[in-house]
Amino acid sequence: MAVKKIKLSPEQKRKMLLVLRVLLLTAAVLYLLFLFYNNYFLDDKIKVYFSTENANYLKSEKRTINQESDLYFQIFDELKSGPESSGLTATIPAGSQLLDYQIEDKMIILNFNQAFRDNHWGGSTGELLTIYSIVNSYTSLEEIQTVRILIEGKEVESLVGHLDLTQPLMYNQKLTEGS
Amino acid sequence: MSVPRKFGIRILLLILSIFILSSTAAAQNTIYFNSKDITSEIETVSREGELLIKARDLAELLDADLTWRPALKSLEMKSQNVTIKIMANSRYIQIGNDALKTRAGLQLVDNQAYIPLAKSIEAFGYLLEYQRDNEELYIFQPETTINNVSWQEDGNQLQIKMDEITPYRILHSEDGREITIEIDKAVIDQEFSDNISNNNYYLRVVNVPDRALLRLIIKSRTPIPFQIDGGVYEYEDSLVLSFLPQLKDIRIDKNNILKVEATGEIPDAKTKYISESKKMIIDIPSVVIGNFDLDIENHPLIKDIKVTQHDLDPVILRIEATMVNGDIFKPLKREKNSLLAFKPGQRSEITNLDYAAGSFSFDSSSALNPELFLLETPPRLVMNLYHVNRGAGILDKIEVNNSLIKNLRTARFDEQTVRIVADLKELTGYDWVEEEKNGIYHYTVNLKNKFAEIRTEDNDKYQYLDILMDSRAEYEVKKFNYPHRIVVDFKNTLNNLDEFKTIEKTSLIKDIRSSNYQLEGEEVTRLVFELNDYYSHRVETYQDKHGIKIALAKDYLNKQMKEDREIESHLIVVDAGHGGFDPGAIGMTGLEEKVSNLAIAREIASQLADKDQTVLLTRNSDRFHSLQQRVKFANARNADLFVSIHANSFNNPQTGGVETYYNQHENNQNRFLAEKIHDKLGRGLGIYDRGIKESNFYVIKYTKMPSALIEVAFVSNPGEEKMLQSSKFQKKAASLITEGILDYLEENGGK
Repeated sequence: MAVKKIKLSPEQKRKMLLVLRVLLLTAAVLYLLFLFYNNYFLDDKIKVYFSTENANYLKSEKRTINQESDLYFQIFDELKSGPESSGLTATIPAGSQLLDYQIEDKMIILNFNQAFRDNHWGGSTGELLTIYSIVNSYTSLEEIQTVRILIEGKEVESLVGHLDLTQPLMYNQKLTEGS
Repeated sequence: MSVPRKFGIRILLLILSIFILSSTAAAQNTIYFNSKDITSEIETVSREGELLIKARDLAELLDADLTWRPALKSLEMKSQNVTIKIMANSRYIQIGNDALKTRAGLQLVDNQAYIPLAKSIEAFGYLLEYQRDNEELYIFQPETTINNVSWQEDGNQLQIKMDEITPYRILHSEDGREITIEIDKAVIDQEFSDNISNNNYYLRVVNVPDRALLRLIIKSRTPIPFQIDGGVYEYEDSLVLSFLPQLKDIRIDKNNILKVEATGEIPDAKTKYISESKKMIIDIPSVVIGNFDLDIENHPLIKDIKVTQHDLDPVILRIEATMVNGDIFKPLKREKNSLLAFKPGQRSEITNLDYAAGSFSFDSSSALNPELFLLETPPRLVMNLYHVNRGAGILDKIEVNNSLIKNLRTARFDEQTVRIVADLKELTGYDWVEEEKNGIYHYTVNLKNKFAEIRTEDNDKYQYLDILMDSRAEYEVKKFNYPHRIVVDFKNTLNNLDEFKTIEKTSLIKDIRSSNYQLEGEEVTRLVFELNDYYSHRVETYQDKHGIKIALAKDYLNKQMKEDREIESHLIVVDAGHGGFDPGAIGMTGLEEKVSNLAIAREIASQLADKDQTVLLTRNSDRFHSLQQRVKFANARNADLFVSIHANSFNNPQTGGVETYYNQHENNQNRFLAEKIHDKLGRGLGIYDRGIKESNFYVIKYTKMPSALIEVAFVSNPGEEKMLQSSKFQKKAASLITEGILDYLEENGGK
């Protein structure tokens, strides 16, 4: 079969060029917007981690920093209020309160109330996801590298009998899905 | 028309008043008596910032006799042996000869006497604990009385005697100079007097009245060494805290004997000499620098002595003595275990020069700092020893003529040095080890072994891997699965496999590889035989351990062979998670995790015992043990294996399945154990396989032997909760775990 060469009239050519120009312009605008967004808006976001529904991993959601409130209390409040997407599950037991915190040389010491322990559902998986959802959320901040957890001001062996809380904890990559 | 309206207004008022009433009620404290909420059973009022209770309600609560003398407006309450008196318009509560000041005192409300709740209940010997910003008040009967706190063992042990051990915590300050022991629900005996500080430690007992606990605070001038698994143990009804002995005195007596004394037992110290700087270094393990006397000045032998806490983990005290003229101080035989003595001017003597295939060894009367190097023509290894003499029986030359060494020669090189030379057949690598026994230091120099030949062989039943070495091999054979492989690790061996032609592979062997790596600080040469499937294997040695022959059975390991397998006896600690006041996770129909954990742990113990294994349970009843106690239990007994049994939980009832956790250690044994166990559980238990996971769980992190933690099933999943309750499922889980443990032992031999 012979190849038929398509001939375009000048009118058609002009139209095609116009479409191309518009497309290019839109792309450029989008690119600029993207750059702008990255530079000016992403800094206002924090990451908070929740459990996946199958309780195998942690996955983060973004939240806007509330300039009026304390950032470190806000992170725990966000963890407590739970995820926005339906495939995720909250990890903080009811009645939990972050009583106070202290930052020492890139380590944050979080002091929780007794209910954080008493109302916890237990289990290795349960404990792991609760503790590391907190640890991963705080250590996503540039200024925090490790997290220590206290209950009512006291050092504890573990929250519910598994995880070693006598040492500071670092960001847990293995539990983080998709990385 | 107006009637319904009036009615409506009334309803509105009623609702409003209910609202107001209930909101004031909510502002009141919640009060618990022995864990029971009694807020609604008692009447309280608040006066001058103090909570007052109706005296009658309190009397009923404490089962006390109440006497009201209207003439005196005085109230008397008697419960057990305590009588308290309080008068209207007085702020004091009288207990015997003591008076307790309150803020509000006795108040009459509607002709009823109200008295301060906290103070009067305290007067009766109860404990109070405020929680949630003082919104909740807990009243407890003390659960234990501390009868005595005393120093034992020359002040190196603190014994806290009490009726019963209640939950306690040991906290230490950041600088390590202060330890606090918090004991819950404890009161101190009234006879106790607070004058128990000793030379090194200052001790104080503090009652924390509003948190129902007692604090014992120990302070020291220097950091108090306290390790994660050291220091505290429970002895009958006492808590015993052990402190490391402290340095007491360094002196040199008129016979020029250097003496170092501590407040307790000093383990054997290690001494080193640095000839250039004329220094002797004495490293003493497990002794702490304290308040010590040092009385050496302008001594003809010793110029200067410096004492430092060289290390805290492990604890090492370092004494650095600079000598006037480079004399050697030799440790003397110990007479007292709290005293080290050194005699000057003695050179160490070397004796018992001996050799074996690929190594030679000798003894020295003190620790040496040998210097070793190789020389090329002719090939020889030179060892310089400083400040030594050749003892009796050390010859100038010994003819050896084994696979690596031709001769051993010894000579005095100069005033300071004795030299040992090993004439070698060819240059090879070396290392040396020091072992100390009864004050004699034994040195062994190992020349590196080499592979002489590697062959494969095939017959009807077996295929053989045959490895021949130049000298006696130090090796370990391991088998791994997925991918299936046999691994042979050789210590102190030169990897000269390049010199061989490719080794012929057989039908069972896919590939042969070699690599070098560090295992526990030692260089290891590893040979890996990749297999195409799982085969059972047997290891034999020949030619006085020069050769290793591994037979691979062509038949798969069948069931009968498995039944018949014989595994050496090991000490296995099985840990049933939680217990006592800690129920662990709780299921919807009320199954407490601790119950099924114990049932499964017991079943594992009995099944392993049938296979001639020695099994210890961390608990065999419903008792609480801290995680640290469980770890200590296994470490102190030097167990070969530790397995912790748990049931899982999550805040989603649909989550279910079995998982096995390990803690990543350098030598991977934890992972191998978890793999063996989970290999069985994942396939055999019949519930969802959630896989093997790595985590820093306390009991598997701090146990020194291979360990794993098994989450058998989810107690938070109603279906699995039911399974966990059935003895059939418990037995099945136990037998799968047992099989996994036995598989591991068969292939890795524990530890």
